[in-house]
Amino acid sequence: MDPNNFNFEKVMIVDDAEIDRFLAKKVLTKHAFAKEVLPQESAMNALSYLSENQENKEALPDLIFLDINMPKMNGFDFLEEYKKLPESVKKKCIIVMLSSSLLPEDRELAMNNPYVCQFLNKPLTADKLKDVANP
Amino acid sequence: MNKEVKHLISKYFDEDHLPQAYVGLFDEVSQLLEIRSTPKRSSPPMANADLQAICQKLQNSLSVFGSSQDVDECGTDIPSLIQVAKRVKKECADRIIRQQKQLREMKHLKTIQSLTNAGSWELPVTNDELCQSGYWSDELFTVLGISPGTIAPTSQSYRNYIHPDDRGYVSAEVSKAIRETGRYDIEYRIQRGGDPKQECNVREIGELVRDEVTGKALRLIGVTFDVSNIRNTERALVKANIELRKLFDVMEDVFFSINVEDQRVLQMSPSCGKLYGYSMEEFFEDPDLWFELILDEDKEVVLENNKRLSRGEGSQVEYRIRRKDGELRWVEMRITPTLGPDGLLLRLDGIINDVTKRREAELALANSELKFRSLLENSNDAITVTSEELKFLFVTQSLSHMIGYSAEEIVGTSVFDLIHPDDHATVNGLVDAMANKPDTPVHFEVRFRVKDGGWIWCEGSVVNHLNGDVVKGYIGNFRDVTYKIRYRKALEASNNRLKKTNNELDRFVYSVSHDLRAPLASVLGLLEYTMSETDDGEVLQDLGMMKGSIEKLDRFILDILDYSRNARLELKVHVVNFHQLLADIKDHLRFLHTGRSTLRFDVNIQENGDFGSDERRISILLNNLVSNAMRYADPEKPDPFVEVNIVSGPKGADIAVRDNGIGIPAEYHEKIFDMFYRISEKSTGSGLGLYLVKETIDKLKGRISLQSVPGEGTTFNIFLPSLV
Repeated sequence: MDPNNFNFEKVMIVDDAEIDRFLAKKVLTKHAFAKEVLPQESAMNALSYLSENQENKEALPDLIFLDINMPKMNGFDFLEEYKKLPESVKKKCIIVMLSSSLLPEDRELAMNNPYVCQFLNKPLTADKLKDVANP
Repeated sequence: MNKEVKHLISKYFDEDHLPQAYVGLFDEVSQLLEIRSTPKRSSPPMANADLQAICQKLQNSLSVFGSSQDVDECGTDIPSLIQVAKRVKKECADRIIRQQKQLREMKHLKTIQSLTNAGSWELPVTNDELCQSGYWSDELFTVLGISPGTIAPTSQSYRNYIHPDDRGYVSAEVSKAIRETGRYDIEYRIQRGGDPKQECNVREIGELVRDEVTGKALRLIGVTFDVSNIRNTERALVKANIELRKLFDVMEDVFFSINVEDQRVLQMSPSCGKLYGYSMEEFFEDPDLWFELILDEDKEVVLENNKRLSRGEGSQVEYRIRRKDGELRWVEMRITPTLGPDGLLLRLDGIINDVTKRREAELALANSELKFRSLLENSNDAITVTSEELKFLFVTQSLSHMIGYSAEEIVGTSVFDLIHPDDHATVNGLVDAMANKPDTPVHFEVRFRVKDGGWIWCEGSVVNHLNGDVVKGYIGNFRDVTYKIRYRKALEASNNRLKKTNNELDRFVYSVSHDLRAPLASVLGLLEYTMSETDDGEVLQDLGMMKGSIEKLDRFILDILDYSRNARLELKVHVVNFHQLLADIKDHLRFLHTGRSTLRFDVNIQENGDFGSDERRISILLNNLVSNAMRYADPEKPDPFVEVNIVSGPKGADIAVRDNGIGIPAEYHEKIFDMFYRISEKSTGSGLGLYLVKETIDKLKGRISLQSVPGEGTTFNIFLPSLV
């Protein structure tokens, strides 16, 4: 695997579980999926980052893995707020839902959101990453 | 002229048409009277010759009256003359009075004759024959239909007007009277005016006048009068009588007349035989029979009624009689009493008719009314009729049983007095609903006040019958459903609690599954990562076992989640897109069975029209069957496969899931759908998969069967009906 040929420059991972952020970072790096991983432990933090860097295109992620079940602000709440961000941000970011939820309702709701392009069940594996890179 | 004379004239004569002969006489009488009243001195002395002449004239006058003899002796002096003149005057007056009387009688006679159509006549009898002409009154001419005086009043001319057939009879009767009887009274026909078409009947009474001394027949006096009208009337009367008698005999009603004084039955129509079974004769023989036939319990009514009769009031009474053959009959008797001048009851006239049929009909009506009433009263349902102003007009006894108030207490009160204040709005709503739809029952549930306190729930319906023919008002029909309503309310409350519990359970299952699953997913992810980082065979083997174990736990959670959702979620029926469904399943299973890439998975779908069902549940059952088939594939076989064949249409879908895997021994076929049942220790499933398949198929109203031979493979056949 070519360590210099990444699928994405910057990938943000929004998850309250440390183990999942840790794993995601490892897997994404190992499989040269992302050059840089931006772990965010809450949806609020992720939003502030995006908001703060809305003018700084370099700092914005190319892809966001978004968990659903998080305290305070869950994945869907994040999507509601994300909608309000400027087009420049939304244009650059691709959102992939990454959840352990098995509920078909969650999948449906996520897929009906215009900013979500994929829904993946945890755990994140090499095979699933291939799907994201070559949909 | 002397006043007395003038008075006399005006009293007895028509002054303008005084006969000339009398004029001179009255003048002379007048002069004489004047002389007497004039004082002697002033009056010139009268010559003796003049007095003589006057005396002669007076005597002539008296002789005219036929009483001159005694005047001869009187003198010719003035007082004597006055005496004579007075007598003349008296005679004159007497004669006038007689004449007047005669005139009056004549007129009277004429009027009578004209009114009675009776003509009188008088014919002289000569040698017992009527040959000479005599006298006919004007009316006799009229009776004969000819003008008075146009023919000679003789027997011969009269004969021409007698009906030719009767002429002989009349002649014989008249001759017989003249010769023997002296009188006759006969009736015969005449032809008026000699015209045979104008026939009429006359009655003639003749009386012979004989010479008192010789006994010789002198003349025949008679009267002839028209009796046609009388005869016609008599004939009509006879005819009417005959008809009445016929009617009397034929009528079913019984007519009777009773003489009260001597307790005698005067009349009884023959119909009594039909009504009573007793003949007229039996009634005539026993005047009390009619009363004896009255049923004892009805006699009172009849006797009571008799009091009215003795007061002269007409009566009408109904009672029962027992016929001769023992049969009972209802009769109606109407009686008109006749009282004598002394106020005592003289006679009773009445009609009795059979009213059994009417009474039976009335009785039947009363019975059916009674029947309905008792049905109403014995029904548990209360029936009420209320006015437009919502006042009770009628309530059945059953309402009293329900709420304790008597029917009398309820009638007249307002509906609002008895219905719970919180339900008054409901009542007003009912009235509005009924106004829009007359004759359509409107359902209600309201609380009624109970006399002892408290309320009962009533359920029923009410109909707007304000324009009804027989019953006008709102007709309500309801029953006590207090227990039912309490039960229902309790049921509703418990249902709500259950729903809440269910929702809580749903949320619980969701969060549990997530909370359980999330760490498992993390561990799985880390295991896989770690395995990709090492080449140490022993470590890889350990990690692989850990991974298998965690995957099993993960599937178990998935199964439980599916099970709980299948049991509780409503069916969501849509047109099923099997192509998409199978694509998703393929996609899903790819991650589950990554190691067995050699397994062939074939799908054949034949969609013949729309098939409707719950796609998510079909997905669950296919996922389970297919993943089972994959899991228990036979690695020894050269071409392991799983095949899904679907034929779907508007009637249903036939689904077959076939594999050439390890197969299931026959003894387990019945048990594999049981909960938590696993065939062998080798199986890695939760024991929930096929149970879930069976449950899901039940939910979708379908059926499932299997053929399986160990070592050859398994086929599950499923039929699902279209639920659209």
